[in-house]
Amino acid sequence: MSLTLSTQNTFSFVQNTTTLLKNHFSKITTKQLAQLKKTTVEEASKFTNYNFREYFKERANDLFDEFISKNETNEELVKQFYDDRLSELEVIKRQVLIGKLYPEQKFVKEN
Amino acid sequence: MLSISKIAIKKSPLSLSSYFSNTKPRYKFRSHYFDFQATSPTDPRVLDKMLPYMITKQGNAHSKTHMHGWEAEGGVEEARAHVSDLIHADPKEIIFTSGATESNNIAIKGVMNFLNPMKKHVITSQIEHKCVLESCKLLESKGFDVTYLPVQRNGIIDIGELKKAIRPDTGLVSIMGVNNEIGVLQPLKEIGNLCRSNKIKFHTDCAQMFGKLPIDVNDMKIDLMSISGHKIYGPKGVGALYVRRRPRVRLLALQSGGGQERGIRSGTLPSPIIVGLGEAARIAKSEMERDNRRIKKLADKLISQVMEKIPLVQLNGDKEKRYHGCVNLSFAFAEGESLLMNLKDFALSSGSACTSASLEPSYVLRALGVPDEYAHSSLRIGLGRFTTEKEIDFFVETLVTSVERLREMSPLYDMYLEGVDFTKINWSHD
Repeated sequence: MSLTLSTQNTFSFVQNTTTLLKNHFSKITTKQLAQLKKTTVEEASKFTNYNFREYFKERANDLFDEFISKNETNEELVKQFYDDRLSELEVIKRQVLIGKLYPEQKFVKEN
Repeated sequence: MLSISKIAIKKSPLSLSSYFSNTKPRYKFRSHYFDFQATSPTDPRVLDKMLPYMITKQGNAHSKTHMHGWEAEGGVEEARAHVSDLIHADPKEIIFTSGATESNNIAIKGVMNFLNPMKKHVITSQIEHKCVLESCKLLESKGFDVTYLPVQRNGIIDIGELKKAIRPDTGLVSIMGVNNEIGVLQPLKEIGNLCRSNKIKFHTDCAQMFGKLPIDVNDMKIDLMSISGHKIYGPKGVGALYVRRRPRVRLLALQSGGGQERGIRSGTLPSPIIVGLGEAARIAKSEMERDNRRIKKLADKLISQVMEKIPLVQLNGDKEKRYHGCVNLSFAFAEGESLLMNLKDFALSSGSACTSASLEPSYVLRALGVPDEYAHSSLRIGLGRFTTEKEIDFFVETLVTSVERLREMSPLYDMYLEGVDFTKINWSHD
């Protein structure tokens, strides 16, 4: 009996994810990766905290650009990358909400 | 009744409402965070991992008979695997504690209490964290001998001095990996090899190094290592101690109880924050290279721009052998505390957080041989994963203006510009 129960939240918070569901069957196209990148950057832009917002936007751009430029042919690796980024997108969405629940002061330059 | 009590509260100078009031911030705006050596913000990914363990998976990790316990234990063991993976250790060698201070206490006091009375000597350095120095002081009061090794001008230990200090009854050497005030990196591999060849236990406080620079406990021959959770974007209140099993490191536990964590640290494991530490370690492993590249670029930009725009600025500590996220700069003729008051839009430190309450100059800078007037005018600027280039630009602009303003007001600076030699002045009062 496995003692390590799944720590992934099975109830996904992601709405309207017909194009973004974990793809176990067909090949992940570059178009799908670009779509996921766009969605991730959009969601990351919703962080109320300036530092988190900038960090996650820059990170999403860097990770996706680096991966897409590699032109990876191994389907397993592409699927793994896609699934990892999808899980991270769910984390970002949840944390954006939590950030909105606890608002903080703005920086002097943000005013 | 209510109105009378309200009046009573307002008039009383020690009223609870004013004492605990946090509804009105003292300063209207939030400051940009530049104090990553004191602590770091919890990464949202770490918080996301922790929350289920505070909401639904709230069981005691030591409950062996039901699902709640198994879930919590699963999370803890996963965290242990992530932490050990980052330092190339075995998961069984990781002991969870309440932080690096507790880990340092267990390592130093535990090992020496076990080795007493065969080994009575401890070697440490003058720039260690306060908890290591205080633990050594306590051992001294119990009859042990402690050698506090001096450091060179660049903050790095001289291996020759360490060799000379080793005695037949030396039981432990404790040297930190990266210093929290100046950011210098000690030669852990050389120290580890020296200790192993002399059969001495080697402890290193890697609170500022874990997850930021690569560590291999086998390559560096480290026997004990302290880890802190809140320095790597994890939660506060958790840390770990690496205790080598081959060759076995034996120590006496400080805290007695149910025998958890191999009997070294009894007590219920705080599973939510341990899971947080594990997730922080996992993220640190995958992001280390990218973070270091970014931070080095930001630090180089900060130092070069400041040195270009203001004269008489000194970087404390070695320029190359360091963690680039810790920048300690001294500004001649601009007092550190006044500089901090002028930089209200930035969260900075002019000494480490644990010693900032006192007005003495930092003992670390004194150990480097930095003169008191430079030590009093030093700023520790901490850069981290979430620092942006725009913040650095804004900081440099404000810092330059503040230093220039303070120097304009300084009569000593005027004397310096006139070419007065301060060493020839007789400062006595008539």
